[in-house]
Amino acid sequence: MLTIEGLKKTYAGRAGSEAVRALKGVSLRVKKGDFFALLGPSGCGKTTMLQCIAGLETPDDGRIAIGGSPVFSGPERIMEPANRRGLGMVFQSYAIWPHMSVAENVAFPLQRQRPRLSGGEIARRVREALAMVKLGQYADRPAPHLSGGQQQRVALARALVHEPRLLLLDEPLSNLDAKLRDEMRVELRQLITSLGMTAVFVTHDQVEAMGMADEVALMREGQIIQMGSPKDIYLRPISAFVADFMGSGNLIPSKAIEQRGASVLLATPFGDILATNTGDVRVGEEAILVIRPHAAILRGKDAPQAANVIAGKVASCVFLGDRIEALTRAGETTLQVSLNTYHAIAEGDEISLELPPERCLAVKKDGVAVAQPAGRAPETAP
Amino acid sequence: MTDAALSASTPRPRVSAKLFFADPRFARILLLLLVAGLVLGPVIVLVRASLAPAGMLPFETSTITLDNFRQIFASPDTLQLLWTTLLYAAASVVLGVGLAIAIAWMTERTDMPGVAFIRVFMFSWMAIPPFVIGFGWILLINPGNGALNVLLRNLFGLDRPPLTIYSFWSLVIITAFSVIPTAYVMFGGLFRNLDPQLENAGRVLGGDGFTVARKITLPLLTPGIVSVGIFMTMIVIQAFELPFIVGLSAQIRVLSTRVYLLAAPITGLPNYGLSSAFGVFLLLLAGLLMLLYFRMVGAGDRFRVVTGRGFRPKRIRLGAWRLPVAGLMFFLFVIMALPVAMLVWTSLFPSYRLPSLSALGDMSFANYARALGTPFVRQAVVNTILLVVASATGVMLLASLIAWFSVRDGGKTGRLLDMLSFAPTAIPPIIMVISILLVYMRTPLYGTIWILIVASVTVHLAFATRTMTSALIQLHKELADAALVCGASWWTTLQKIILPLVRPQLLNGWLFVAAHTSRDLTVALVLMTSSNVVLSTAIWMMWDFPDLAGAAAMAMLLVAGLLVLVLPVQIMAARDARRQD
Repeated sequence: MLTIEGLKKTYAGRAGSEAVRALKGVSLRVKKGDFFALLGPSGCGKTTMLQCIAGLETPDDGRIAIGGSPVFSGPERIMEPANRRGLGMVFQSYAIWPHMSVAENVAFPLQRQRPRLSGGEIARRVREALAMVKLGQYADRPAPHLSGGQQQRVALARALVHEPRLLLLDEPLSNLDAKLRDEMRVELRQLITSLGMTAVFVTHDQVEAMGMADEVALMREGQIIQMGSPKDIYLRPISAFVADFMGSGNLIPSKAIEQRGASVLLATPFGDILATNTGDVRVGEEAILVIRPHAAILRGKDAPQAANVIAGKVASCVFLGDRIEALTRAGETTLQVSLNTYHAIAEGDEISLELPPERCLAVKKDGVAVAQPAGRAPETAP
Repeated sequence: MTDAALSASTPRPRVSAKLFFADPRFARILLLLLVAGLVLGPVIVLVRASLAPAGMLPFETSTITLDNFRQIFASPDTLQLLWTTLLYAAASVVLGVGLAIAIAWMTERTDMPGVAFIRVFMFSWMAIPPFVIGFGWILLINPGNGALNVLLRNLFGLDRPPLTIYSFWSLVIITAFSVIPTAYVMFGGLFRNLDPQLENAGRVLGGDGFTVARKITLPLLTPGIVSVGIFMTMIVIQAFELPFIVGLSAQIRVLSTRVYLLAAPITGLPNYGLSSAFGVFLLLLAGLLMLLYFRMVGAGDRFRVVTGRGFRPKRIRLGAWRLPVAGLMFFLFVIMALPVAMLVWTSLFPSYRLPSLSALGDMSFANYARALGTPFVRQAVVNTILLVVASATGVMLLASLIAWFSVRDGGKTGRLLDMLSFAPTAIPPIIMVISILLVYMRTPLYGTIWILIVASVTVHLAFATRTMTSALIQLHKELADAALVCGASWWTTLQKIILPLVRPQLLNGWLFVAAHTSRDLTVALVLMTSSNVVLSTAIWMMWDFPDLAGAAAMAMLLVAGLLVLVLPVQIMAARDARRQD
């Protein structure tokens, strides 16, 4: 439905500062009916990307095609303006026009349709769209008299009412409070998938991306680092950045010493560990061993010495109800582990941790700071 | 945004009248050309004219000569002229700004009564044309039969008139009065936004009231006061009407009147070359002050005490001084209003009468009826309405387009548009209008009301663009983005989304331009022919004729019209301000 090839965009630097290369040749493909997430930290180019798709920014080079027809092409010098792309978009600020009523906001895209729609047709479709987002009784309300959640629904109705080819959402949940955000995440996904709409949305929150998207593209510094289903990206990150961004984990500097099929043996500060080679690490290379906090399995102190079993001492331990967060010293390394509530462990206990090879990930080192959790309290997932 | 990618972007446009609205690039280029023509055209012609040989118009000759400048530098008169101009400006500004500071301080930071009235008075005062004030003062204190002079002479048994309008210092004082309202408005904001915590801190640390004012408040306000001072100096140096009305008879010559008299002498042929050369001079002087002003405003940023937090400055209690201070202030306003009262009086008698109780019986509206009955005045009223509506609407529309393109697209074209439209600020209206005269003299536009409209649009372009740009900057970019993605063209977006959202600023800007256009004499006088007389020039001609009573009646009608235009908005604004207090 949406194809992007080699998209480039550079912002001229202001006097005294360097030009910003916001997009460095990005390619991706979104299937019809997919809910696609552009995920990344701020400044990674995801918003520029969305603006280029919408036609609000003009890329320097590359190609964008929607539904098979090109809307931008650097080589062929095509640039379809935003108002002729037939898209729907939900903005971060919602951009509800305060001088219009709810119904007038939603009617706006329909009034722009050519050939013109009849007044009755417009009224009917506005009613349907508002009913769809459960705002039927608010049609005549002035737009500023709405709560944040209601404004978001109006924005959604306005973006969907003209049945766009593609729906774009820019950080759609970031302006809502935490509880509402959880509700809307589910609702938004249900609504959009039930309409069979293809949607691209931008977010910096990996939980949001995983919770809503069929497919995620993780971006960094103007490039897509990894693309795939949320599960795939979480379980099979290719680099330390991806592993770190998708969720908390221990990143341990190590070195690949032996290839064993799809796995690789890593030399780590606490001994050799067999790990799944998701990052295509070569023997002899520096690598990062990723161990998610809940990947480790607690074994008794007397567990037999075996491969991927390490001995350690509980340095601190916090009981959080649904889990226990423990910092474990293994040699010079501190590991953050998340344990079942019903384990009885205490500070100072000698323990063994089994690290199953399929839960240990060997990824490329890519400049992400590998910090050791020191004496501080373990972080909870962001 | 790369222009290369842009220029190639759209599918080949169908050539039609809709092109302007459909394709923003086309509109942007057209706009750029229009603004460049409006603003740069006159300046280029002015410089060219200043380099032309004597007696030649810029289009008639290809010779370039410095004769005009040589003549200026050779004349001992020039230094005198420059000195008078600077002294006149400095003295009026020091006096006017000083009074404005005192009034603004009293209304914003003390519990003086009558604050709302003063605010409305000050804002509305700007609606009264300076030349009308000039007429009023002439009627009050001319040495022959000035009403105040006669009154004082009778009261004290003097044999010589104690006051005269025709002196340098009279001109300075009258100009200072005209400086007060604008300066007051600028200082009001400054004082209102001064964070009282800065002063409180000084007090807590052991300073008494006077020490705090001297060591903390004054230094904090200095950059603001100096920049307003420079701004007002710029205005006074550019001012033409008061030096023209009052100064000419008194033989007080300043740059602006010299430029005018050379281009439109009372006797003899106009010397456009020399006039232009003086104009270039005045332009440089104004430009210099402008630069200085921006320097000062830049320096003011370091002292940014406008925090925008929702604080209310504590008002100083005047105690027993409350009423005397208020009395003094209102005495000043009475003096300021005196010339208007004098004109009202004059307008009510068929022939000029000194104010006295015995004259009351002869009062009538005959002058109004007589003036409105003449076709000449009727034509002037129609012309004025056309001029005001067309130029206010035109300039606000143009400014909206400029603001849209410069705020939204940024880029080179946007910045260029912004700069070009700001340039007229540094160009004194008298220079601008003489340049416009030179540009359009040979076109069919000359002599029609349309040349006045073009000139008025050019003169007010900077103000209108500033207003609309700051309004549009405050709008979230996504409001327009949303409309574009919904399928609206840039024109529909501007029309349906942007302009309705900035309607208050649009209306305020429109009223400001409308008021200033209708009260303006400078533009209308320079471009006047028998067929494009407007109210201000009609009043001037009646005054010059002389038909003092008729002129006074027309002036009062103009003032009344202006007040109707301006007063409702001001009263509403004052009510809002009081609600916030």
